[in-house]
Amino acid sequence: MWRPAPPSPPSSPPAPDGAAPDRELVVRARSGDLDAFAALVGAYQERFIRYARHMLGNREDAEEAVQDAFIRAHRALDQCDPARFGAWSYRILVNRCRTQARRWRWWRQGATEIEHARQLGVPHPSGDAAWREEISHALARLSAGQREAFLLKHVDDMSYEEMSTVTGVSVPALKMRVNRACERLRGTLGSAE
Amino acid sequence: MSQRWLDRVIEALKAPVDHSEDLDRRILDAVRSEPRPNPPPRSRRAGGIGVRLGGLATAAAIAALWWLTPLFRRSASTSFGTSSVVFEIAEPGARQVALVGDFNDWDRARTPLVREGDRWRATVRLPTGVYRYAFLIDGVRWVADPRKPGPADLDFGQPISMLAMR
Repeated sequence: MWRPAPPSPPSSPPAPDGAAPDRELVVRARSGDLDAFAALVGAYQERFIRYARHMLGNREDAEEAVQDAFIRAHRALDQCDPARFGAWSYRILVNRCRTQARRWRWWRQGATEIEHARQLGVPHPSGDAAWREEISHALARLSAGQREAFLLKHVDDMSYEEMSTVTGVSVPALKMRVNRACERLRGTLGSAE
Repeated sequence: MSQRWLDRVIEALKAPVDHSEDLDRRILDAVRSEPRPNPPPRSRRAGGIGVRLGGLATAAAIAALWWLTPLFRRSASTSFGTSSVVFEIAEPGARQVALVGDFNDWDRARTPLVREGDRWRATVRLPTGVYRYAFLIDGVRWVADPRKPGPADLDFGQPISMLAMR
């Protein structure tokens, strides 16, 4: 089963050294063991914040989404199959990011800020920093659905079946979104290479 | 897109991103400050204050349906007085059934149902509002009211039912 503990592959996730498996941690957290929940937060936080950051485009909104997702997960642990905490909590995060994105429309704001900076003559970064900025800008130009599908498939290494569980979107629709995202990224980033 | 070109994009996106060093502490502080269990205390309305928009939209749609379709209302397994609601479900094999919802903070211990033959029943007094709820069977299985199935909860993906009191 997939669980977000980079860089382990989704099909055979080793638990972090010395860490209890998710199942045991969830069971303990359900009974009020906050240390067990802290271990779950530690296991998933990095991957969650990376996804949220790429989805939402700024640190503040990403941290708010991740924090909100963990709080909601903790409230609802009784609804979680302990063996599937990863996919279940990721689903909560995906929905939190959708809500945040609807609220702020960050990609428009981000594009405006970049254009404003260019008009003010702010030096453009070079090298890897420039490449990352171009990628971020290109991601912002994708639809939210395409961005979501691309990140889950290629950055979080989920199978389409896992993506479908997490997003509630059909596998064929997800495949179409990933392909279109790749095409659009190529169109946007092609000149940057 | 060539594979090599795509690999470069993915490699950049897989790099760790910066975040506040105290993020995990903030999360745990927030978790510590609220009681467990349970889920989403949100759609109950009280003078239009502080409801979550996603849940409210779902609740509003269900509430509108409820308001406009008396046939649906009569056929539901939940019956109404001015302020009392009877919740019941047929679970002959269950050892215990609890009602959890916005009205009891999703606390499994607060509203147990009582067995009556093959059915389980509880009566709850509710003020005006829109509520989400579900039945918890034997402490582990969440089910929506079979005669009032609603959408899966947006956040948790579990089946829930909606109830509008007016």
